[in-house]
Amino acid sequence: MDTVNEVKNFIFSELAYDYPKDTISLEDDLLSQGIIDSMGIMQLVNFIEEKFGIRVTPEDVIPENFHSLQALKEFIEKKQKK
Amino acid sequence: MDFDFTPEQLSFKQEIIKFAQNELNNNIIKRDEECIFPHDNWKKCAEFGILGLPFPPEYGGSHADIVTTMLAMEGLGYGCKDSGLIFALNAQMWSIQSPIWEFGSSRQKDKYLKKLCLGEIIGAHGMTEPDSGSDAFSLKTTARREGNYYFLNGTKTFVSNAPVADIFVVFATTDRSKGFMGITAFILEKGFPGLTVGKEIKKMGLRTSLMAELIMENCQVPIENRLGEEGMGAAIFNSSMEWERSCILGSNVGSMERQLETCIKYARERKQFNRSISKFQSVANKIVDMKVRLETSRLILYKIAWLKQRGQDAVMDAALAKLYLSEAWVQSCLDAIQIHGGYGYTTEFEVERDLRDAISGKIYSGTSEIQRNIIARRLGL
Repeated sequence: MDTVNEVKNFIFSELAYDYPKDTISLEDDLLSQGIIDSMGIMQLVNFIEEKFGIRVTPEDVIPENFHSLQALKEFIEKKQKK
Repeated sequence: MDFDFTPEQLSFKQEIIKFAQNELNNNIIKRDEECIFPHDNWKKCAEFGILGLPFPPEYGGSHADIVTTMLAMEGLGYGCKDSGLIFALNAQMWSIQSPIWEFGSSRQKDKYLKKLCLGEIIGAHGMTEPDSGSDAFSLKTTARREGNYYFLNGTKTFVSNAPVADIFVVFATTDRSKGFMGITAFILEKGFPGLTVGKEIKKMGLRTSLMAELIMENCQVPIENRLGEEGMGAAIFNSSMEWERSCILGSNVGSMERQLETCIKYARERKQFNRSISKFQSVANKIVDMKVRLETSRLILYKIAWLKQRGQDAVMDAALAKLYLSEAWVQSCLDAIQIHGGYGYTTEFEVERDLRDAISGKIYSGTSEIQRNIIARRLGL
């Protein structure tokens, strides 16, 4: 499964399981829609660290890296290259 | 899980107990009644090394690991009857010193952390606002950047240590459109233009720990006093809360043990119907329940220390511990009063003060209801 689908599956099975996931596009804002909230972000960080074998520092937890599926994909792939 | 303490750790705990019993319990009834912050005892705690425990030596600490730190806080709770002082120390250690240590610049650490560890300055934490408590990230305080300064506007309430504080870690939104990810932390100094400490807020318990509002009216904050990057406020706040929820409870476990011993002694000495009241099952069973709560609380607490020592996620365990220990402590305080009967209701016997102090544990650092929300989320609900 590719990065986007791994992350999307986690978000819509754990954090926003009552949200219709098929309506979300790559660029949709996950923060302003409340799909990722202040409690969910910590779970998402744990998931990304375990699933993709990368370390997410508090400095990484900024809107630029988490606001959409596309941003998350780019962030994870950038971290994996380091 | 391995909770095997070293002889050095146990000996340090005994040292803290002796220090607290000898130095920190003076005039506690009067100080509680008159809401007096014990400046001298605060300094003594700093000199003993309590404030600096887990922090690096270059900043006045002793770099103790989390297990040693929790054990020390347990010893402090056992020896010190002034829960207000313990609360104030914890508030500074976990919500001021810890974020400065973890997220602060070298300049911020040099300027503030050492003085905090050594008791030369006092810190306070401003998150809660009149209209945002449990929903902490819906805060209204704003920070607007102009050149090399931020201008903060808003009001913080229930700010522990505020009346005696020299610095304040305050959270404000720098970009409301980003929600909880638009929140930024700042270090404010007493005397910054536009910063006012409001009048003291009187409360039910923890009366030796003072509390006030913090009002910011175009409060001018140099850019070098921003803590972390813009938008990192939520991560900083969550990190502080996890530490605070874990460590502040260590002292409660110590207090529960002291209270249990007090109740056993009283129940053996107090005679009714020609027998010690401890011989009546209705009294003995209460004491047994207190013991069960103490031991289960201790296990939950040391599980967190073990998890954090291994660098593992402890968010749910910290919430479980906060929920369970705070409610167990309140129930044990109620039992202690009941065991003491009429005397338990008097100020002189010092049992009622524990109850007044304990109730706040179900509210501060996230109410019991919020802890349940965190646990529910982690259960996939």
